[in-house]
Amino acid sequence: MIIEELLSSVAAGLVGREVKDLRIGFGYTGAWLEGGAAGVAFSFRRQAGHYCELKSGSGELHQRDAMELARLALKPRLVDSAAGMAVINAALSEKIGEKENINGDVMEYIEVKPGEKWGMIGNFCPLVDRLQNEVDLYVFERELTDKYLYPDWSAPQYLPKMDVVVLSGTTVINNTFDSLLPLCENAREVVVLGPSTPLAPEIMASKGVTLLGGAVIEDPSRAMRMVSQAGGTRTLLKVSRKVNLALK
Amino acid sequence: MKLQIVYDNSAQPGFKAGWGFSCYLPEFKLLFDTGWDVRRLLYNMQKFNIKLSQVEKVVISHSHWDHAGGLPGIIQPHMEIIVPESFSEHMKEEIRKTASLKAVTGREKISDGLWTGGELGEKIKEQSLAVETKTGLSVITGCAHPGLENIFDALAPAGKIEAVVGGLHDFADYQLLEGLKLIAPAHCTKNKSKIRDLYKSKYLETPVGQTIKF
Repeated sequence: MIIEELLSSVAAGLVGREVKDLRIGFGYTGAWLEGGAAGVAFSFRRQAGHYCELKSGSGELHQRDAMELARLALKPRLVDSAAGMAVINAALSEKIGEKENINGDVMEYIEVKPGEKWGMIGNFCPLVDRLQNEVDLYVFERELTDKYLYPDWSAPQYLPKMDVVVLSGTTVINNTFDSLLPLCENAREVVVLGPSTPLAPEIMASKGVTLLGGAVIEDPSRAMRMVSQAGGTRTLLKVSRKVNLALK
Repeated sequence: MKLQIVYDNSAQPGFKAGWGFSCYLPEFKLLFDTGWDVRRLLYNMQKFNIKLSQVEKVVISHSHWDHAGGLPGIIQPHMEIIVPESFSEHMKEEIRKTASLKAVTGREKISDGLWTGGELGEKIKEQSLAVETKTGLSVITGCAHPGLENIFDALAPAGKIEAVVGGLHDFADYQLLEGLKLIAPAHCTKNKSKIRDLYKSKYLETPVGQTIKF
């Protein structure tokens, strides 16, 4: 299970450490490690459910041991798993050196061959706009808000036929990543994309992922404020640098 | 009239549970919904000795993964797949490649003694079924997203509603269940314990493996 591997990889840097701040926003959940980096994970607000208390211990969560918070990533409730993944992503981003990143558009690192089949788990609108006239594009989403979307439940039927698969980093949070990866074995490129992407090149490469397109937050203080004010991907990218890691 | 639960969040020993819902109506050779994991669905169907070659109709209540996810794994050329009109166009096209497709809008009879309430709801469109029994109607729901009252209203012209089986989501208008003879909330029903407390004598659990007789 990928989350367990990610937890093992960050444990040494998190045990006994404090979390300076933890925010659960409408767009993203953010964690800022004491004396260190911040990380974000998508907040599944529509799937959060209706509870009097969405997150027990709120107001004091940041006082817990960072590793304890990271372990929330294993919990089935998405409010918990997003909080855990934000802590893990913060720890992972501390391992990304300045020179390692390729700060630019992820599409510069994937060859687009006209007529190929591309599968996209998550509706990355800017990518859809650019690709829909060049490749045979299948975009899978739970909420079918546009006609071009395919229901998420049909992905297992199509993914094995794809030449390129783009998975949202959110698939790690909602625990679908492990079941989707084996379906991508025939793809020449498997990309994990978005600010929730765990920047763990060794682990991801061992799963067959060929490219990571994530982000490292450069201004944690502003990023946490943005998270609290329902900021989304575009807003967060103002205080982050894109990190593209080719894994093959 | 018999209904066999083949997919639900809970299961009797010897069957497999999974988040989702599906039931089989042997008299109509009809599978209602497919759950999510086709392996669990087929395992449970096999336990009931239901063969895919026997299934003539598959009704999908709504296009959510825990109800329609098993469809690609069970669809066969001899089947008629009945979906709400608003179902994904991509998936309708895909179904047509393998089987015959029926997309429903309003209430209609889909077999002798079997009704669909038609596509209901605003955000999440969903169809429910009603089976004619000797004394009235038994309603089968997937998640009841459009609201049970609206589902009952749509099906009431077909007969007197006496039973309800299936997911009821966050249904809380308990008075609506007052006159029913059988209440079997399944899968996503949030207020199962409240319903059970209010209607103990009419309440039935719906683990996979359960057979309900109307």
